[in-house]
Amino acid sequence: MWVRRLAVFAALLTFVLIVAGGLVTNTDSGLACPDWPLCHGSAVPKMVGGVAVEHTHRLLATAAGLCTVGLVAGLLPRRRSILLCGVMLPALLSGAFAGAWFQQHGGEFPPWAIFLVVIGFGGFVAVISQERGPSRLAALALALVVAQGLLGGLTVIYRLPPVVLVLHTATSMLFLVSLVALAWRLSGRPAAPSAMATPLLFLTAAAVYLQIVLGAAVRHTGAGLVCVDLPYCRGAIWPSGVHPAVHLHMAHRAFAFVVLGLVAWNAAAAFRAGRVRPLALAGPALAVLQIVLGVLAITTFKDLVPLTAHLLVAALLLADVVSLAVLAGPSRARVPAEAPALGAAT
Amino acid sequence: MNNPKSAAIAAMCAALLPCAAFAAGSIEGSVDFSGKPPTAAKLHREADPFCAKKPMTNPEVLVKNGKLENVWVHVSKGAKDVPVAADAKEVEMDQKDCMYEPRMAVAQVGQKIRAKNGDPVLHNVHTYLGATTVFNKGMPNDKASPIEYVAKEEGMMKWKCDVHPWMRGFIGISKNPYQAVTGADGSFKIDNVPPGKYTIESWHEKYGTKKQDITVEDGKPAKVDFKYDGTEKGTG
Repeated sequence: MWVRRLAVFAALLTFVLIVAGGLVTNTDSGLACPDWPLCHGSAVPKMVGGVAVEHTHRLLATAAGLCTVGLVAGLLPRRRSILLCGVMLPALLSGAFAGAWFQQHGGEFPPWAIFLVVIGFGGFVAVISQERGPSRLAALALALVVAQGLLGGLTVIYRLPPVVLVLHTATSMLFLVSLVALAWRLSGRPAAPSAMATPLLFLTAAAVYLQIVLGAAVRHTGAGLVCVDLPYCRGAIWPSGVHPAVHLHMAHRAFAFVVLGLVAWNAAAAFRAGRVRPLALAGPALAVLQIVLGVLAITTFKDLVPLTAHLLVAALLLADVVSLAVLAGPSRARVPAEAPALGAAT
Repeated sequence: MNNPKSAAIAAMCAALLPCAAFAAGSIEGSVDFSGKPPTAAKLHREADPFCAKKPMTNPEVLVKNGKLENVWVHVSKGAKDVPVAADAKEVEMDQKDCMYEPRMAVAQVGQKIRAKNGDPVLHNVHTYLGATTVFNKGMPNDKASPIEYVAKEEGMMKWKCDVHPWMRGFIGISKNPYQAVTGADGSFKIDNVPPGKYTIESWHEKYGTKKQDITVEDGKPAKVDFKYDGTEKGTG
């Protein structure tokens, strides 16, 4: 029982964490703590201005990480969870923190630190490949949240490189997906009728994810306002002879309508199938709201509220589609078979 | 003030005030940079055809002969709040060739700051104090009316243009006038500082803050030098 509740809590906490991450970028607080993993050399810095924003994000990430450790401990066989949380994870984090310390004190990442990180992730891959069902999802979530933390560290150490920032957003969404899927898998809710088109749902989830990654690329390469006219860009739907950033921006705009179409199609199918009607109806509503927020982000010159809400609604839309996919997916049938193991864990 | 003794003391103080002002000291020095300055990277301004016409490199770190430019040096402790002078000039931040000009300036709480657009293209002026947006307004072209703002709080006011993300500007705001920005030779001078003990702080967008305690004596320049070696981490 506690594992199920912890999974739901961790998923909800991840929404808060994603919003906090958005606030870090949108309030220009990314370098308010110029060091990592400490902030101005302290684990408890003075929480003012950008430091409060950035450090709160780090604390929430730590809390999400600890919740995920709890999920691994509750779902994996004892020996494997000890191997993962007691050996691999400390080795990996020791390597990362030591590497960061050397790099920030005028040195380079020492080879042994990189070795520890690689060995740690290797252990995660080995465990993930051996597990099945919810325990695999829990191990995957832990690997993702650790990777996410390290990417966060790299964004600070290398002073916000766009590629790392995009990866940071992309990984955060995969972490959310793993927790949402896990929460549903542990929920014990009956599977939705097979009338729902499962492959299309997975395609839609992939499209929403791709759109989020495109959005992250727009955000972190500074392409958010390369087109300030609407609905056109520099007077054309697809202007020619322009910088690739302009096409990136327009691709994000155009793909929003592809996503809206897919989400609406799935919603109609899911609605006909019944049982998951609230989730089915939420999809198109969120997609339309997301387009409106995207427009507002441009017309307000990236004002804090619409810009941050744009990220939150993206996460909600992804979670909605993933929820539908998990509930409709054939893997739901395996849950009862795993119930004794879960019962033993709880 | 009905007491004749108090009145006499007040009259004496009034008579001595001009002398006290004359006796004020100054703070001067320079900001040294001992490390290897980073190579100024090319700014990617190609997304806007107007900005793309003039290739530029990143002016974040400007070092000449071991001296660091664009460092905000200010008295951060020990000085009383001073109201802005009635004849204080406006601090002007222009947007010229898709860059802020100047990159670093200083203002006093209560002083007027004016943002101009000298370019024929849209800039949005997005300013922050800490994590809080001070104002975020668009200026469509060089015919746009200037944006005027009266500084209300001390701190580092960061300026950004979201349309052209390489554009960064800074205005250090203080509650007193004892502040300066280092020039191309890395030097600074702060005049008319009353005698006393102070903490003086330097701030650079890439290399952050350093502090020193100094004593200013009557009519004498107090010397203070700051040293950066390039390993420091700033918050700009």
